[in-house]
Amino acid sequence: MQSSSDLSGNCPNNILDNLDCTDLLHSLDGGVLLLDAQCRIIFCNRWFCSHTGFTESRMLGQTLNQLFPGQLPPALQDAIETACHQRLGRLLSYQLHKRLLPLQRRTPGGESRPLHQSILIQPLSRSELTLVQCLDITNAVKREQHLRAGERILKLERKVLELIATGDSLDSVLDEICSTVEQLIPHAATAVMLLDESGSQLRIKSSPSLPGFNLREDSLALNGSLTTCTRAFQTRTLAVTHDIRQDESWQPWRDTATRLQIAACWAQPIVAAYDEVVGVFACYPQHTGSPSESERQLLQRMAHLASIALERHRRMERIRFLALHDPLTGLPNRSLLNEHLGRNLRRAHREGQQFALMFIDLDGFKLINDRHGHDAGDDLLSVLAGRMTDQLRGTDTCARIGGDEFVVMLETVQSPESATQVADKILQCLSTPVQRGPLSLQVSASIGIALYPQDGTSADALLTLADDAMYQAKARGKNCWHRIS
Amino acid sequence: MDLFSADEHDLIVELMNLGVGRAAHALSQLVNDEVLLSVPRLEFISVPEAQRAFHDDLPPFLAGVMQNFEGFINGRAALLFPEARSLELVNAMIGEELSADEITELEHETLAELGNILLNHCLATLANQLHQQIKTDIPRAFNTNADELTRTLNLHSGDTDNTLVMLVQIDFSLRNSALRGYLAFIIDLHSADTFVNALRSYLAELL
Repeated sequence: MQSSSDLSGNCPNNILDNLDCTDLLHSLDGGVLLLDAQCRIIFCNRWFCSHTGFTESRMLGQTLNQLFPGQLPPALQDAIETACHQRLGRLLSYQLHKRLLPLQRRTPGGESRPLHQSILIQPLSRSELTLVQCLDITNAVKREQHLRAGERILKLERKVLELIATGDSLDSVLDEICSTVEQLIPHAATAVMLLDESGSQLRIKSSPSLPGFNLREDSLALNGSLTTCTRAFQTRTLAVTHDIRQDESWQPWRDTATRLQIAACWAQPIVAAYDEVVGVFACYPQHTGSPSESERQLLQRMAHLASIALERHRRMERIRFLALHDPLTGLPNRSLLNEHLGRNLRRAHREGQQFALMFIDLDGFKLINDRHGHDAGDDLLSVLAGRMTDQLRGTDTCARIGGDEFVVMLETVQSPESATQVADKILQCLSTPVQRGPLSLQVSASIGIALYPQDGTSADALLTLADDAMYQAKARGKNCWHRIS
Repeated sequence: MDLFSADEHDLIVELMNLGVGRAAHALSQLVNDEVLLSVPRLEFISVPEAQRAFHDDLPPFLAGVMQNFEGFINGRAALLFPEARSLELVNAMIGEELSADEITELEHETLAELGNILLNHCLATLANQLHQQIKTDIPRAFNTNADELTRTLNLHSGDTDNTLVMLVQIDFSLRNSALRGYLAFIIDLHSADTFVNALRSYLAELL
C-alpha cells in the first residue's frame, strides 16, 4: 500500500503525464506556432486561428510569408529564417517594430483593431523545431501611452509652477500656460481672458499664437449675448462650441475665426480663491469637435494653474501696495514719495521742466484728536486726503509722511503762480469743515512750497526747503502758504 | 588566463569587433540612424576574477539582457549597462525625446531586443567565422546590482573551476547618446577544447 506522502508525491506527476500538451497550447491566451526547419507551420494554436481568421488546415504546411504575402516586415521574416536555419533565438519588441503580424483584435464594442504585439522566436533544443510566441501587448501599450502622456503634462506643469514660484511676470506665466496646452493639444491655439476692472467685460490677457486676435477693442461684454467664453464664465463650467460655423454667437468673429483657422472653441472658467470666477481659459482647435476626457482634464489643470498665477500676482500687488502706501488714507507713503520724487527729478532735468513740492501740516489737528478721540481724527484725515487728491492731476502725488503731515508733488508746473494756485485750492479744501455725525470738524493747514529748479535741485534740498517754508507759514499765522525765495 | 595564445586572443578580439560591427549595422537599419559600436577591451578571466571585476569595474546598479547559448561552446551571455542610462539608450533607440523617469515593460522589452541583436551577432559571427554551429535562446532583460550580478548570471552553477568568463567592454554611440556597456560571456570550459581547436584551425588556414 502507498503511504499518503507517496500519493502526494506521485499525484502531480500522474496529472502531468495525463495532460494533453496540445490542449494546453490551444488554451493559451497568446499565439503559439511551431515551425519546421523550412519555416513551415506544423502547429498553430486556436488563438492564432481566431486572430488571423485562417482555419488550422489552411495554416498548416504554409510559411507565414505564404499566408501573408507581402505583408511581413523584413525584420520579422529575417528573424524567422535566422531562427529556423541558424538556430538563433530572437525577440521582436513592439517599440522597435510597430507592425509585425497583420493580426486583428476585437474591441469590446465589436470593432476590429490592429493588435499590438511582440514576438518571441525560440529554436527548441533537441529538435529542429522553432517555437514562435505572439504576445498581445495592447494593454501594456495603452498603459505606456497613458504614463507618457501623464509624465509629459507633469513636466510642463512643473515648468509653469517654477515660473510662478520664481516670480516671473504674470504675462510670461500665462504665455507659458498657453504654449503648454498648445504643445499637448496639437493644432489648437489658446488664450487667457480676464475680467477687467469694471467687472463687466472679458479681455484677452495672453494669446501667444493668435496674431491679430485682439479683443481689446471689442472685448466680450458679459451682459451681451452669450459666447462660448462668457457662457463658461457665467455657468462656471467648461463650455464647448464644437463647430463655430453653426453657432450664432460666433457671427461677429466669423471672419477672424476663418483667418485664424479656428473651427471650435472650448472655454474653461478660471476660478480663483473664494470661488470667484476671474477669467476664462479658451482653446481654439483647428478642427471641429469636443474635447476628449484627457483634454478636459488638461484644460481644468491649466485653468487651475492660471488661477494660482493670478492669485499670486494679486497678492504680490497687494504686498507691494501695502509696502508703499499709508493704510489709513491709501495715499503713497514716504517710500513711494521718494520713488516718485527721484523719478520726477530725473525727468524734469531731462526735459528742462519745473515742478513743485508742497509740505503740508494741518493746524489744530491735535486738538481734534484730544477732544473727539483718535477715531474722529482718523476719519478726518481720510476725508481730507480724498479732498486733496481731488484737487490734483493723476500724475501728481499726494503722500502722507507723518501723523498730520502730507507732501504734494505737482509733476510739472508752468510757473510759480500755478503752484500757488493749487496751494490756495488745497488750503480751501482742507479748511472746509468735515461733518461727522452731529460734529463738525474743522482744521486748517500751513503749506511750504519749493520749486524745482529755482529753489533746489535735489530731493533732500527741496524737501528741507519746503519743510522750512511750512514752519514759516505757521509762524505767519497758519492757514496760509509760504515760499522761501 | 593563458588558455589562449596571444594570436588566438587577437583573433577573438577581431571576431568580436566583426560581430559588433554587424550588430551596429543591423541596429542602424532598425532605428534608421547611425549606431556606432566598438570594443576597446577584451579579457578572459576566471570566476573569482570575474566577481572582483564586476565589483570593481561595473557601476553599482545595472540593467542587462541575458541569453543562453549552446553549440561549439556552451554558456550564457549578458549585455550590461549602468541602470541609470539604460532608459536613455532605449529612448535613443526609439527616437523618443522625452526622458521618462521609470522604465516600463515595453522599454524592458526594447532593451531585451537590443541585447538580443548584439549577442546574436557576436555569437553567430564567432561561430560562422570558425565554421562552427551555435544555437541561442530567447533573451531576458533584468535589473540587478554589482553584488547580485554573480547570482543573476548564475556564475556559480556547475563547476566554477571549469567556467571561463570573457568580459568585453563595448562603447555605444547613437543620436548624441554615448555610453559604455559590458558583454560578459560565461563559457563552460568543457566546451573550451572545441573553441581552442576551432581557433587554431582558423589560424592555421590563414598561414
